[in-house]
Amino acid sequence: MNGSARINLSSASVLVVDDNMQAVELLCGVLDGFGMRKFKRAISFEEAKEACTETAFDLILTDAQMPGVDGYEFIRWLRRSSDEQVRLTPAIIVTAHTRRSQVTKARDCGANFIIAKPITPKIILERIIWVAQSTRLFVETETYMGPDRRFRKAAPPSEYGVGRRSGDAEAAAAAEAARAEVAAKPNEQDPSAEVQETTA
Amino acid sequence: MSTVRKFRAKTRLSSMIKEPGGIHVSEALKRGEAAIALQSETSLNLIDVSLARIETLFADPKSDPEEMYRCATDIVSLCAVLPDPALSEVARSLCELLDHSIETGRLKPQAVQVHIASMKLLHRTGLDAQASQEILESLTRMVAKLDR
Repeated sequence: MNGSARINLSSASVLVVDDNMQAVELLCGVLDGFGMRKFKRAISFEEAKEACTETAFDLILTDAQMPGVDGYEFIRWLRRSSDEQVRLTPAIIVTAHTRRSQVTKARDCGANFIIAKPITPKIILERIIWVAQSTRLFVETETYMGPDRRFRKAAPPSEYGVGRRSGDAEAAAAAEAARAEVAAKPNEQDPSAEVQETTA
Repeated sequence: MSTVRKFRAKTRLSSMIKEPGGIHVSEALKRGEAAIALQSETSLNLIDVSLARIETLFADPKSDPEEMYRCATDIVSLCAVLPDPALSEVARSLCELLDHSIETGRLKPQAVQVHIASMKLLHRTGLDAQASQEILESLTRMVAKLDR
């Protein structure tokens, strides 16, 4: 992240969902520090669902592990909403731990990003900026609705360079080499290069 | 046959973040850190409560491991106020252990006990990073031994 870049989040309305009130306050405190002013707090799926029917949020941050209906199911519900604006709301999941049985559910729920707790301002802000500036396509099928899960490289979005994991530099270099190889073969069409409606 | 629709979703967030005004990213991060520091004592007290609850649950053989799992996830969340990641790593390791126990129906009391002991050693004891690392390494060795 470029520290001297400016961001304006003052008019963004945010929904923060977590059954642990202190976790909600920690997250809202951080978002307030980023200049966000319009918060709605919810401690369950029911409250979050009601909030979404009343307000069109610009960003949703939800905990994954909640009693009853969890954060993954909430985002899945959101992505199936009949209201287009609600359906496309940027959504980030924060999770203390992903159960083995929920890995597939997490992958398929349609969230823009999943962040591991404990939260840090750096990671939260970085992901918000990624979501805001993302050029990832949205995909809608019978079984999935959300950002395209297939990344062309294992690093963060290209405009942010190399990521925080130890293998990211290597992955970014490999992806760059692969792109160069594709560019050298102009007859091979890149399937993700254009927005399209397809029937599979 | 199923239809796949791909499209670009233009969100309000993407336009408003670029609007004039706002703050520098470095300033936003500083303010975010300050907001977390303000919540420090409340969060540490709640870690005390969750840790005590885990001990109580462990002492009761009829307790529900799901409740212990929830307490461990609460500790991970509240560790946002701690600069040293050691306590959250032990709490997450306990989540992993309990998740496996819930799936298989077999709880490993000794493994849970060493996690509780490690968390107590790491919480509010003022250990330096090296000592914390040694506790984490001992826990890893102990859990591996109990897994055999």
